[in-house]
Amino acid sequence: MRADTVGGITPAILLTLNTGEKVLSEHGIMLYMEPTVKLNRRTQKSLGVSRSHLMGMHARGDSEESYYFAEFTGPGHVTLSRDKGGDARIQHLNPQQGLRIKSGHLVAFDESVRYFPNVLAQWVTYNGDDQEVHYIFVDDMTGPGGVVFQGHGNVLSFQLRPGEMIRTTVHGLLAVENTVTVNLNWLVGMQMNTVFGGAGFGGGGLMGAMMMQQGQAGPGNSQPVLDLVGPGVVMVNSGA
Amino acid sequence: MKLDVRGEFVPVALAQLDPGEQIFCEGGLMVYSDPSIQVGVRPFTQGGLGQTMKRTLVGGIPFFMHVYSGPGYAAFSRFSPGEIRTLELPAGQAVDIAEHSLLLATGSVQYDAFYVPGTGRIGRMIGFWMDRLTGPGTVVYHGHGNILGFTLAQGEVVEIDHGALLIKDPTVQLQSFNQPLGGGLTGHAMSFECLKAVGPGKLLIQTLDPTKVHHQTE
Repeated sequence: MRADTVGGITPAILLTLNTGEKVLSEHGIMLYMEPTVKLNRRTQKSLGVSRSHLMGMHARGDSEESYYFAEFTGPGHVTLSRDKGGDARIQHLNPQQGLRIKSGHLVAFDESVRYFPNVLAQWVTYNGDDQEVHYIFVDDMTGPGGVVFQGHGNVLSFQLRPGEMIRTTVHGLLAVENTVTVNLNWLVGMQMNTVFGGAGFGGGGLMGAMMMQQGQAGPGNSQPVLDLVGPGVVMVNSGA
Repeated sequence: MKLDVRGEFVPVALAQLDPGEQIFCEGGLMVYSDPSIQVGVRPFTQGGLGQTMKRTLVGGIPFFMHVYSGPGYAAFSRFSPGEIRTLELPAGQAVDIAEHSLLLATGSVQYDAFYVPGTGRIGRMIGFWMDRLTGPGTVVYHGHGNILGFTLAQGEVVEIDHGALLIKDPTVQLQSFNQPLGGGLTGHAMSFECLKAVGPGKLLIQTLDPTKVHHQTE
């Protein structure tokens, strides 16, 4: 897949497909295509995602993963747009190289890329007696192949060294390599810091974040943040 | 008219008018104006009573266009991220502009609207209206997102999302069709409406669907 961005305000992704080359995208984001390009549908099952896993994602409430993908087969050009203003990034993944892209940002990927929707982190907030569970859904992409995704606003990239940490808001995160450890933490105010002993509530790595159970919410009026520990690439978007 | 486009992300078109000079646009697009500007209306009655009823009652096209008369300045916006461009039309030359995109035109430009039939599927696209503007005069339009251009040869076809259509020459023919998502009954059930644009002529498309933007801001 050859991918180019066109336009600067609301960029579109122009894909150039060779004969027989296949690219998958979310259904409904095609802007225009040449009549030589064939359009088909692919189920999540055909990509190795079981129905039970997808139903589990939907049961969590906020997940909007569709069961169907659009599959474009070359030769020809296809242009895709997410109708958002923001930087588009094209990344070629090596075999077994993994990239987790926050759900709602994936534009297209080569057929050779393994796709798997997942939960990166979850937390609970309380409003009086009501509790609400929040999730960060991600699209787990594993190479080899090309992946195209789009941030909201500008995309800032950081190459973290082993052990190096960067903190981002849960809305600011766009993508992380699978070598990066993700810890959910709580940013508390000065007074709350004194009472609760400071921020330090988080799991160890992805599993730790995912193991957070309902009821393990942070202190009142605190803000969930993500502590991302290298090595690996982290991308955040400015218009989240 | 002297035109100045200001702002980058959500731009406005600032029109400086000489005494007696007129421009017209849809209502609700003016951002700010000089107190010396006179505001009036221009009824849109082309095609007689039947066409007028069809446009206004069925299509939702306004019966009146707003007219701004100089001297003074007035600024207009479509309140959406995008690009503003101008088009100088010689006498008799026409251009077709999609809904939600015409910003303003000088008083000498003839305004008309025509209907592009949809696929007619139940609960789906029933068609849409396009503005047809005929010179002489200046037309100012807003492309939502970025504007991409094509020059189609005779018989050349490009398939586009109907929200992506921005401007075309009258020689470019549009045809709505259902694009199946794969084969079989499921493919047809999941089909979505597209437009087939057939050359010859110029075609501009926009990268942001204005109807989706309006949905998001509601």
